[in-house]
Amino acid sequence: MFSEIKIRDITDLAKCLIVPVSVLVEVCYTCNEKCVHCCLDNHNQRGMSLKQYEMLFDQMVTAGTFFVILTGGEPFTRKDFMDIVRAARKRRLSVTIFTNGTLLSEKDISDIAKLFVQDVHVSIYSTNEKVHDSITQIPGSFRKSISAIRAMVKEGINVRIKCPLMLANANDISNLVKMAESLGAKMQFATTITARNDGDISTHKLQMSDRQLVKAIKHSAVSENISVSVRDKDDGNSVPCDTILNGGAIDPRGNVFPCNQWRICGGNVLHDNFGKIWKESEVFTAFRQIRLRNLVKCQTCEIFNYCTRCPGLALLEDNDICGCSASAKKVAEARMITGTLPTQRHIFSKI
Amino acid sequence: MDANLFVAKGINVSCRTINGTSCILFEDKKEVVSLNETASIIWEMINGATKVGDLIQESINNFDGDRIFIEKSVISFLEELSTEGAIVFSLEKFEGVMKNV
Ligand code: SF4
Repeated sequence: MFSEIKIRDITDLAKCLIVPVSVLVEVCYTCNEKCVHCCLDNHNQRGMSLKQYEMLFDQMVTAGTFFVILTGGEPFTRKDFMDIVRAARKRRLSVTIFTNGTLLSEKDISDIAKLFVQDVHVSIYSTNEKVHDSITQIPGSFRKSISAIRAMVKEGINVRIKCPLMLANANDISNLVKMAESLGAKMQFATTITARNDGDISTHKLQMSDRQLVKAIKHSAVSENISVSVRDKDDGNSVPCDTILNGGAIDPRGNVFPCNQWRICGGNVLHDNFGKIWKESEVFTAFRQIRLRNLVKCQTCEIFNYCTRCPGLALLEDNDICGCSASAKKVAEARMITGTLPTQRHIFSKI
Repeated sequence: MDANLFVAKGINVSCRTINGTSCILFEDKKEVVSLNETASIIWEMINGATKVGDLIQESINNFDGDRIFIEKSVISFLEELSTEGAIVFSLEKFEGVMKNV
């Protein structure tokens, strides 16, 4: 009678049905750090009200959202941030928080644990306090972030340290891995410093040198290695990135984007229902038609199997959503030199 | 199974209706279990304040069929959910932020 229980892969199910299963919500752009590589082009937006977030979360639940990533700016610059987390958890959204950790109080940490927040990601840029603080441009920020990580791990919270690699910290990978281990946290690196949201590419001068990039890619903590490519260049029907089908991002003003790097707005949740925007926005519908067969350069590219191209970055940095992404190409070339195939299945994925 | 036990949805599970089907997500495993229509109705009744006995009685009231068969089916469904960690039992009503959600 009740035995028809079927186990499915959530991302595949969501992809086929265009369900925004995992949504990133930027609750403010205000921040207490001034990171040199920050992708934000302003730090003024304070975000929607708690009531508006409660409404949004209700709409997300109806739309089928399971996972929500709460980020900023620095989300803890909002005095009511933990109320937003509570509102999400009350609706049984699985919550991940991105923070620099410097503003967390003991009570915040205890509440995060009690609310069963799935993960907290904390940005740490170096094991060297001076280097970290020079990147955040806030003296004392390293110590505060590290002490927040310690306190969270002690409370049983899953902490992931995130580090975008750049000129200033590329030689610190092994030390960062050891430090994360000793703190009881996971470690995750990113190899690309992106343009700012307004297309300003001045941040690119912070990127790793070609030599540093190759060395970083070789490191097992930066990229997993697999022997068979997960890509199929002959499948012209594959989608450039799954996020347009099962993702979503919302900025502090309520604008909805395919993801936080794909900054084309499909609607605003203050004027329209989130689920309706996701399914019916004309611009999103048009993006969903783009297939590998439309990416002429990629289809004939020799390093296709090594590429982790982001359509949003191709548009933001190179002005062509169907063209080659210079940032992705740089990383793909380093991957080819080291023979490191990417594992990301959501890119150039089968439909 | 004791009919007086209170039943609540597990802390790390959530449920959504996707395309008319109830889907339970196990957050840790990122795995979704989809339920059939009858199972969805029972699932919806679980709120931390309902007892095993209430679920059985409600099912007998709502579904056609032999009383004993329905009772056995509800119990085996609850056992299955419990094994998966989707529900928890308690002698007391469940309190706190996860109650009734
Ligand atoms: S390197 Fe450029 S052309 Fe080649 S697959 Fe990547 S984005 Fe496409």
